[in-house]
Amino acid sequence: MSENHFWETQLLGLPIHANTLIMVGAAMGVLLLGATWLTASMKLVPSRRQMIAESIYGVCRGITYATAEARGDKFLHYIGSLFLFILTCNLMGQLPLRLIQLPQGELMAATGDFNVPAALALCTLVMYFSFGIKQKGLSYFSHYLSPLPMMIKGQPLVGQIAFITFFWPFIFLNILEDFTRPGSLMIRLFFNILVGEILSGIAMTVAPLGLPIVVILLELLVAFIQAYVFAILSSVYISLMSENHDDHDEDHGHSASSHHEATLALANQTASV
Amino acid sequence: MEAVVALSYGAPLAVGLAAVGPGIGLGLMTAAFFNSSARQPEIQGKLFIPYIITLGAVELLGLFGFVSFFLIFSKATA
Repeated sequence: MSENHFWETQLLGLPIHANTLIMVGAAMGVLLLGATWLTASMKLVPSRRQMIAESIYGVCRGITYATAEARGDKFLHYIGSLFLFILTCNLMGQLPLRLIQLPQGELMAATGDFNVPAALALCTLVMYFSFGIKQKGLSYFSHYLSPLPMMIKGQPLVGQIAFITFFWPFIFLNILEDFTRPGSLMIRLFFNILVGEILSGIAMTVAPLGLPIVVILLELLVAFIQAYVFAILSSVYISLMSENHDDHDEDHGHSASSHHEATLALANQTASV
Repeated sequence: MEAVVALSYGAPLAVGLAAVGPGIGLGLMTAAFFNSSARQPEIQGKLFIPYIITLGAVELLGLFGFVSFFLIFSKATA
């Protein structure tokens, strides 16, 4: 979108998009007020209000549990707030906000501005670096050599030298991965929301009665899917970084059985409670 | 100016062409998802998360066409 869709001003000498800031602030306000209201009176036997809060928590925990099982509880706070924030931002874009007049630009979904998904993706990058270093210490950085230690294990010296000579560029691929992961997260979220904004704009001009309703229904679906995808992929990246060396290789092989065991353990725990 | 005219025909075509591959991919993936969950309904919950992850990966390829459309068009009209 061109620059006339943004309200460009200065804040403390820095150029900002004021309409995006308004929408981000509104989303944060909605989340804070909603969380405070939903968890106002917590009891052992939940009231209806607490049931809603618990089901939202269940959705967030489902995301981390599906990717990292019990280890996921360590970054549940991050993934949960990420999911809820993106979802709120996406859904607020579907409100009839264009009726509100601004000096310049218009109010639209905050995730439709390039800067918000970029900031969220950078948060994920920082999270998975810090988690990897916290779990493994400085040996975390050895994963940049990733296929080489496995390849040269048990080889004669000539074989080791040959492998290192031919496969050392894998280091660059491993470094590149740290840029492509947040980049793809950012592009996916940003363009999905942007396409929705453009599509609803076109629908509004082609057939103002009826067609926008179809587009908005589609957009509601996209808003949920994109928030879910962003949260799940962040969770996958963080859990890949923080997992132990032992189960790194056969992760896909035995994940089904270990998932089953974990589910059984959880069921036993709930039964005993 | 000639380049802009050529691009105004070519760039939307590029977006359409870029959508063909991910369209086929998403169709195959969703068909397999529904087939497997019709044969074995209890697997659906387990398959849903990998399905969503792969959906994100496939869909990104289609978006790359859209990104290149924006990049080329903003360069050409500037």
